Amino acid sequence: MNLPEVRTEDGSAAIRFARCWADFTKALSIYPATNMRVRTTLERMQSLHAEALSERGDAAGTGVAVLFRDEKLELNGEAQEDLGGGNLPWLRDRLDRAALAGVDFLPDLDTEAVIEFTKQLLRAYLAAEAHPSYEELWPEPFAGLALVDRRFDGGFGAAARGTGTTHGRGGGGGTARKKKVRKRAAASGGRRGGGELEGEDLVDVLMGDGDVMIRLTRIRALTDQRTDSDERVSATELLYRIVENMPAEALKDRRTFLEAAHEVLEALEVDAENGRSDDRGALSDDRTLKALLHSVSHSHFARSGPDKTSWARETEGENEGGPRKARKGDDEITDDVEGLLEELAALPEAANLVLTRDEVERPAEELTVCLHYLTNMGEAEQPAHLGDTLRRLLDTPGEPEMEALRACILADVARSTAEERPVGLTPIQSFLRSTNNTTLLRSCRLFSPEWVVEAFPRYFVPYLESVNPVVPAEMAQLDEVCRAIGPDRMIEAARETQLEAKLLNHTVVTRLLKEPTPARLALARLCLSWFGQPVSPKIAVYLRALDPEAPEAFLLYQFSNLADLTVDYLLAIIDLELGRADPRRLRDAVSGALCRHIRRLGTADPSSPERVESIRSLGRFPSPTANQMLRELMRGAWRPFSNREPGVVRRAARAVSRTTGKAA
Amino acid sequence: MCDQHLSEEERAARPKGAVRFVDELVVAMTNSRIYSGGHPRLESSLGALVESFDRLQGEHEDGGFELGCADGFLFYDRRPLLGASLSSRRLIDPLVALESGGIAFDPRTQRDHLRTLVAYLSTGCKDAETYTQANESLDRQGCPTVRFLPPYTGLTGDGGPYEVGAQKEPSPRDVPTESIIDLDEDIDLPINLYQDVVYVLQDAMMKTCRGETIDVNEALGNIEAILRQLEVDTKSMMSLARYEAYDEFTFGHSIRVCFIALNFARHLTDDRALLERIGLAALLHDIGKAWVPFEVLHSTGLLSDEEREEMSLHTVYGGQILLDTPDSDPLAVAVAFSHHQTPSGGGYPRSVRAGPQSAATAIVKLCDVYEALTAVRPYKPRMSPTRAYRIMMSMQDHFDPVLFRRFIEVNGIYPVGSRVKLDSGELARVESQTGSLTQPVVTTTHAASGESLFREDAAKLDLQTSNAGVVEMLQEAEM
Repeated sequence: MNLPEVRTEDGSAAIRFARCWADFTKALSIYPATNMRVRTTLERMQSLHAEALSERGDAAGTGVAVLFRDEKLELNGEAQEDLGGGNLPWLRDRLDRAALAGVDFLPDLDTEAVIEFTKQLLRAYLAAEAHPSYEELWPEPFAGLALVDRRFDGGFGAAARGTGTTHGRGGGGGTARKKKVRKRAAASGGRRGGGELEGEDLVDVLMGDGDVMIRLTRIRALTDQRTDSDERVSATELLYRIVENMPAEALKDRRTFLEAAHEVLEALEVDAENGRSDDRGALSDDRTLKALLHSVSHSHFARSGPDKTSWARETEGENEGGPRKARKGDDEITDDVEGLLEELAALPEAANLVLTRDEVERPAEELTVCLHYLTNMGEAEQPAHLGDTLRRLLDTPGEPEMEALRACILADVARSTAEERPVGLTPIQSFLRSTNNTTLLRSCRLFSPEWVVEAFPRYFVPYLESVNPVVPAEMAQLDEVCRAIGPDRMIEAARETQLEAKLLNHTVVTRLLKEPTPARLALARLCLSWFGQPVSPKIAVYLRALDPEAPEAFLLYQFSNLADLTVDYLLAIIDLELGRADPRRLRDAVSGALCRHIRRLGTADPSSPERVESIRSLGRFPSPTANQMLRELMRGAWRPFSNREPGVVRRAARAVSRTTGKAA
Repeated sequence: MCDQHLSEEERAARPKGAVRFVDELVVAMTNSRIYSGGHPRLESSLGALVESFDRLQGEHEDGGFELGCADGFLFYDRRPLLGASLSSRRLIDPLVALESGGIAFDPRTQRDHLRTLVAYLSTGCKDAETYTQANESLDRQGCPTVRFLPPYTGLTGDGGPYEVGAQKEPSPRDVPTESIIDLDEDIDLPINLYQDVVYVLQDAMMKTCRGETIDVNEALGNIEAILRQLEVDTKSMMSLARYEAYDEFTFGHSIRVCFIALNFARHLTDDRALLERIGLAALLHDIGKAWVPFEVLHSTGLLSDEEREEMSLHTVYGGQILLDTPDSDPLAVAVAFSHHQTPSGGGYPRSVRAGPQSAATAIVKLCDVYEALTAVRPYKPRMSPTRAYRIMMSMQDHFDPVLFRRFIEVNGIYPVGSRVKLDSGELARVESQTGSLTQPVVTTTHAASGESLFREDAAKLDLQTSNAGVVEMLQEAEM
């Protein structure tokens, strides 16, 4: 896979807004809405939206329209040269699967509506296998957003404002959706959960569950085959109906609620496939969605009596050897030998069944069980021989074990992210590290570029550890990964990954920076954040090789001892190269590095030309620190065991002071 | 073993109260190994013991009674308590060590005396070498109302069944004038093996309750013995698998699942080492229940959501307990953890699934459900294998269909060792399965008149070729 390049923030506000929208969508696909990363990106999106609006200066009421047409990005009706880079191609794919060409972000942009829309977009992507239509996916408008149907063919500008012909159904009426939702919610009793689900819209909870939406899509696909198009109802109506009829005891926590919903949906899917049995048990061939809606109200929650759901009753016998799921009650199943023989004949032939060792015993199953304990128990609680057993299982793992390990690690990452746990060594990672098994992680294909980028910042540190600097393909891949992650994400991850990085050997990582590729600038910054001064010289060499154009970069060449370059300075130079310059900070960093250099040389060789040069350089970057330094130099007060600097130093300091007009 | 041919009165005379008393005694002994004195669980089991004792006392005019012990069996009122004996090795062993013929209970026996007895028995009466010394020890402990009895006389040289009219001089504890082992002689039950397995499981449970690690090697030895017995005499082994009595600590369930799973698995593979591992996994699949609160584990009513949640944790506990043992077999760990998960990803506990379930887990899962459905519980009658299979059929994706079909073919509609009634009126015991599930090979045990047949008169019939057919399967009665 060719990962897209990330451009630095140039271009119009509209293009930057579009990229930011793509970044936000990507972030929300990984992190929950409350995550800082998501919120920060959304705020930036808002700010860029305002900037783009003012940049346009058009008539009031027009928004910022971002569309994808013919493999090109269209901003406010103007086709761009390409797709725009960054996460935009990824976003285009999501929009396409959701039957959208793009979105017009209206002036009254509502951030909560943006979040809701994005969640729906991501859910639609999951449910896209059944190719639902625009109407099915977007029945309700979103405040401040005008959705553009993929079918739209006319010119955007006029149609988007309601004067076009085949414009896709958009929204725009912010209050409209809320009204409709309120009405529907009122119809369902305004059903909100209690306990863990306190205050949550239960239909939203269901729509937020990928499995629910996939099953809903399948039901839809099954029932549509039997329904005329003008009689079709929205599949989400099924969710409303389920919520309306859900017994109170199912609403006490999320898990119980989702389990109950899954059971009903599963039964409905079977009904949709095979035909329903009505309240009296009679089979009906009516397999339309309407019929299923009716059955939700009258059958699925009424099967076992007025105050019990089928799921509650079916778990009665659990202490008798496991839950039973019967289409009829167990009481109706008789001792009928003939009946048994008939049912037996329907099963596959088994007379010659012989099991191999590999079928009887599956190390992959054993491994997932052991990893369950590893990830779900604190170290103090873990079974005494868990580690030994895991080591044995991972000693010579086959492909199934590697897949099992991969599945467990992916689940661990997903859970860590969902719970917003800080990045750090997960139990699996700690264990693998203790067994020196970076090779195992590699064998799990956990260092594919896609996954490293997707899971970032989790597992980024082990990935770095695994990269072999002498293999050009791996270094090229590292560049791809760094570009795809982007400097912003990488910089933000510095603090999160600090703990994990403590276990890294920094010489390994700085070897990765031997080649002066700009793609690894953010990585260099990350290294500096992690390791600080010990890696400064290597980072300085890397930066020298990049040959930055900024005048402030002169220190890279002026200091003979690169260890004199401070971390702050190097960070500031990198930020400058990444287009994140903070002038004041840069100035302070330069003068700070100069001062440090001057002090150090003052002990070793106070009148050296290099020291004098640094003193002169202070004049180019006046700052309080620089001024203080100059005063000290002129007084000579700081030098140990002597109260005078050499004349050449004092003269240089005086000259600089005069120049800057800040004489002591 | 079968009392279908007995009259109502004769059946009623069966020593049910004595069985209950023995069960409570063993429970109290087990609890006294787990809990310290005064613990509510121990006190509760002592209370139940006293209650059953009082009831039993009421059956005797003078209020006193004896519990006999000979040849590895417990006796009451000259009748063997076969069922109770199966799970009472912990009680029988010290009596055998003391060469005692049982325990006598004086009419004046009170709760404290029973408490002393329980404590003394649970230590194995280690301070005594003979029953006389044990009685002296009981006296010292303030328990004069309970006595260890001298041994039965009249044993045959090989320890076999008692003979009427023994040659020795009559003594107060002479053998009774009638045969006291009222067993059908068509099968030789591997009682000792069963007792060994119960003992090992009891031991494992107690150690787990006390937080100690269990030793699986002893259990492995039992598994080997079970396999050998299955090869040599499937019928007798599987007869024990159909034993009805419900035991307090679910040992019977685990043991029966082990028997059924091993019998099934040996039709699927010849790999002996693998079979032993499957057997061990099946035997220990519910070891996690040792950590489930007693009240939840033995609840006879509907469980609340919290109780159900607690119960479901026995799978997680089971894997944890086994991983705590040195050289734990990951196969047994996986089976204990996963045996309530379904192949399609449902069930509990919720965990990451990667790939299909192992056949070992699938086999134990099948046998676990089958045993639970067909076993006797205090609150439900026994279910026939036919109905059990049909209910399992309705469980949709819980079982691998090929494995399930093979299980039914191997286990049969009339499982090996079960007793059936033929259309001739004769009673028979199933010897083996054939290609036709409704026509196994049987051996007649009772004539149509109800009279039991001597071995030489019994007929072995392949119902596929003979004119006879099975009318119904009979319930085994408590022995």
